Amino acid sequence: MTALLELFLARYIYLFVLVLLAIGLYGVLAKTDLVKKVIGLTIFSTAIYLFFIEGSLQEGGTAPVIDERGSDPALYVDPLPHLLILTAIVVGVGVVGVALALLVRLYRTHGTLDEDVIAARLAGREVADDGDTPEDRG
Amino acid sequence: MMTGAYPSVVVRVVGALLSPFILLFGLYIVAHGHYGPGGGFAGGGFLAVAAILPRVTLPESLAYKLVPVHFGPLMGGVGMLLFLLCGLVPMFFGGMFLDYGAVEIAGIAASRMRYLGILVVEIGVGLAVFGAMVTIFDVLMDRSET
Amino acid sequence: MIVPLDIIIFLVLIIAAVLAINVKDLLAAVALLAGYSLFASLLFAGVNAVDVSLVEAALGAGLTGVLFIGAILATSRHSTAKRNLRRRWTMLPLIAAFIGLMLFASTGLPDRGDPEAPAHQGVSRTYLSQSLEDTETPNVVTSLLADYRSQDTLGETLVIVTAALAAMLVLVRREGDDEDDTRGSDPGGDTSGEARGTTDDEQESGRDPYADEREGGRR
Repeated sequence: MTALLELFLARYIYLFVLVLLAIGLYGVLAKTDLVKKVIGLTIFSTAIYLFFIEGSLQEGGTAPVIDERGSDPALYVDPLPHLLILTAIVVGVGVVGVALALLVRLYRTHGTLDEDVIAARLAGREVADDGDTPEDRG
Repeated sequence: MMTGAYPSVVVRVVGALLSPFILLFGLYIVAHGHYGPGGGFAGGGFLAVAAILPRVTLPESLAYKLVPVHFGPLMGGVGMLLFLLCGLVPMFFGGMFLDYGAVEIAGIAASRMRYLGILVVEIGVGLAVFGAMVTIFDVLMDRSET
Repeated sequence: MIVPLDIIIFLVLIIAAVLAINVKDLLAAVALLAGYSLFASLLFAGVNAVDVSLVEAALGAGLTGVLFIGAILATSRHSTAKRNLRRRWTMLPLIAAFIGLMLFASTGLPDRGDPEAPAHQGVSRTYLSQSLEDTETPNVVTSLLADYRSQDTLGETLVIVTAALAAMLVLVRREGDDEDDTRGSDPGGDTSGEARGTTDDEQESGRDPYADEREGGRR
């Protein structure tokens, strides 16, 4: 039992990050509302940031700001993943901005953000009825 | 979009009062990146929030007088250019691209030069992020100039 | 890094993510997303990634939310898309396969906080021991960002500015632009229903009656 607990404590980050990745992926793949897709994308990327940053942790290390204890690398956590993720977050915001701009443009042209409706209209046919009942709306 | 101010007077007053302090905090974050958490990216984000807050709370005529629409793309370009020029300057001193330590100015050690180079780059990045974010917001709110 | 606190925050993250995906009011979804980012930034602070935490709180939680709200005000507030059940049931095995693959891959990863992990053996030790000497900058992340790896940062900044320009290119209305604008003059979300109903007719008729008025008022 204790062995299992130790395994969980060493690995639970991966488990939780995986759950978040799955939720984000579900949002991107299964939702038809395009805004929900962008929200899923943001959840997915934040889960990846979490994975990266947790990987930078070193037991006993403090924040990578050199203080009076000197420059011994063992005293601080790994700063390189911090840099990578810091820039990735900013680029992620840029990506969300462009995605939302495209969505607004789509809305201006088609009057809806339902992916199926837009795809059907672009293909030149009416919306296919997938056997959805009216109470399925939403 | 968003003609006029936000209906609630509390939101308007808080938005007007908070914006300058967020601006100050953003400048502090940009300048303080050497010694603590912060730097150009976070500071630029705070500056952008300080510019966007009046746009969603105050009347349009006032908000767009504080930070005009053309300010966003302008600042983005200026920040980007500052970064590029800061990278080009060392090449005139025989160094590599973005190798600030190669710049020789009497009385300033190479490590100090790199310190100053970092500061200039952070300011450039801050301006670029500020400009880009304000531009994207303006464009989404349909207020951009052609 | 306090393990019980971490687990609680992770559970909050999962709940916020599920709600943000499933709630119908898009503004509520965006608020939940901002909360999700804020709790993620707490986790970043918990593992001593202070710079990342600050950026995530400012940009991830703050500005992303602002951009989303701007886009929602410009479109419609309520998620009106129909559920596509067929697609949902096709995607679930795909997601399960993804999780299985990742779970299998995670067995090869090092334990949490292991100082002997391969990622920590590389160049970052040099950065940590040299930063103060080389650049007089105590914050190693800043010296990495703007000095050791400044070309990377140059590229990222270029990406941000390019993103802004791309958004402008996509959305700015030009003179004589005859795009079909089905959006009502009311910025609120409640016009979406009628707008969707009338789209087919308006596609035929071309420009909507409000467009001239709006353009004239703006310029």
